[in-house]
Amino acid sequence: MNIKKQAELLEDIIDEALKHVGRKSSEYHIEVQMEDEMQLVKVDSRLVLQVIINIVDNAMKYTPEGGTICISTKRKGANVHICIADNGIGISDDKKPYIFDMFYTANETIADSKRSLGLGLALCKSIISAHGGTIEVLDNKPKGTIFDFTLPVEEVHIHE
Amino acid sequence: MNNSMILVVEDDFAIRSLIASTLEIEGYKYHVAKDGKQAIIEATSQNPELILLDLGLPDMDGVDVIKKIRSWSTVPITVISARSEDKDKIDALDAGADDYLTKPFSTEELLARIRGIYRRIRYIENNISSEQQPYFQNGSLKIDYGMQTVYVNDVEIHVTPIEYKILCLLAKNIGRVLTHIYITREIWGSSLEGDVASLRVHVATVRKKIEKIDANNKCIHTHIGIGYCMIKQE
Repeated sequence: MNIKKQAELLEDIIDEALKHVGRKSSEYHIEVQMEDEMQLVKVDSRLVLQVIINIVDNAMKYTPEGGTICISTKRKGANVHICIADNGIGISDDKKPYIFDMFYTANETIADSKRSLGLGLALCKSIISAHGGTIEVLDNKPKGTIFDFTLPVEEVHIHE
Repeated sequence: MNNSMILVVEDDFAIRSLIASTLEIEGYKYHVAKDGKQAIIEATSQNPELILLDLGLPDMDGVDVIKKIRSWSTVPITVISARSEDKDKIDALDAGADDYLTKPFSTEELLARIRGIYRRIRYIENNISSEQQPYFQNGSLKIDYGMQTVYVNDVEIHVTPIEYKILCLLAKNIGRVLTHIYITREIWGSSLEGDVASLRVHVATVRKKIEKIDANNKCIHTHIGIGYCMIKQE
């Protein structure tokens, strides 16, 4: 994967991604909680945009209207954790090991042409891995799903 | 506004026809050019108020067309391009283009951009240059050039010298997308990787200072991977 990394403000990327999520986003309560609104990351912004859009779109797909989707960020060492949590139907433990596989969808192991191709999360994983990060899926409490992925921090000496 | 003339430079017949039909329905006058050479001839002879320019022309690169036109004219140029790479947009903006649209685009987006450019033209026509005008006003944001102070809703906000320079640069070029490289060179005289990262932090900081007083003033718009633009607030 050909990626061009440069220092980007994580807040700018999240704001831009939220402008591109599906039209049903107005039917959900989407909130952003950033530990540091000035957090810089060294990324290819167009690819990371796609990761956030994919995961938020998935969250809307599997969360009833009126539900909550929360994007939170927290630095841990040389990486920033970005968590996208919903209070939807969740993903059962037996499906969790396969959701990042290509062509896997929640109900079918083979791509259904009437629904998604099942490439979104596989692509997200490829993009995050290309940045040296990790991605995992967890259960939200009391219900729903959390996608937690990491991106490398960019330290900046501010030029005055 | 609808008496003005727009020059459409596009070699693809279908896209040229679509743009021409859209302009015609909205009552805009327009001329068309199918290649770079014709575009330059039309720009000099017809004196358009706006140029919609495709980058991928058959006889010359659209960026070269921009450079040639910019050697004598400040006519607003919006690049329409299928090229998704940021570098091509950045090259076009640094060569003097004011804005860009990436294909595929909707006719609504095209018309909205055209209206935005005409708002900017009217703003510039209705205001003398910033060197003569003591104030810049955009919605709740006001810059007092004489006192070098910035106000939001008439409340003075403290900005650093660099933040002030950035605000003034964006204000002077209201409605134009300024690339990171252009801004950093104007501010610091260089465009190293660290300068661009610093720029991002400075812009985010000044934006938050503005929005702390007026959360509705979103005049500084980020073009991810490209740069920034100050948008005229109604």
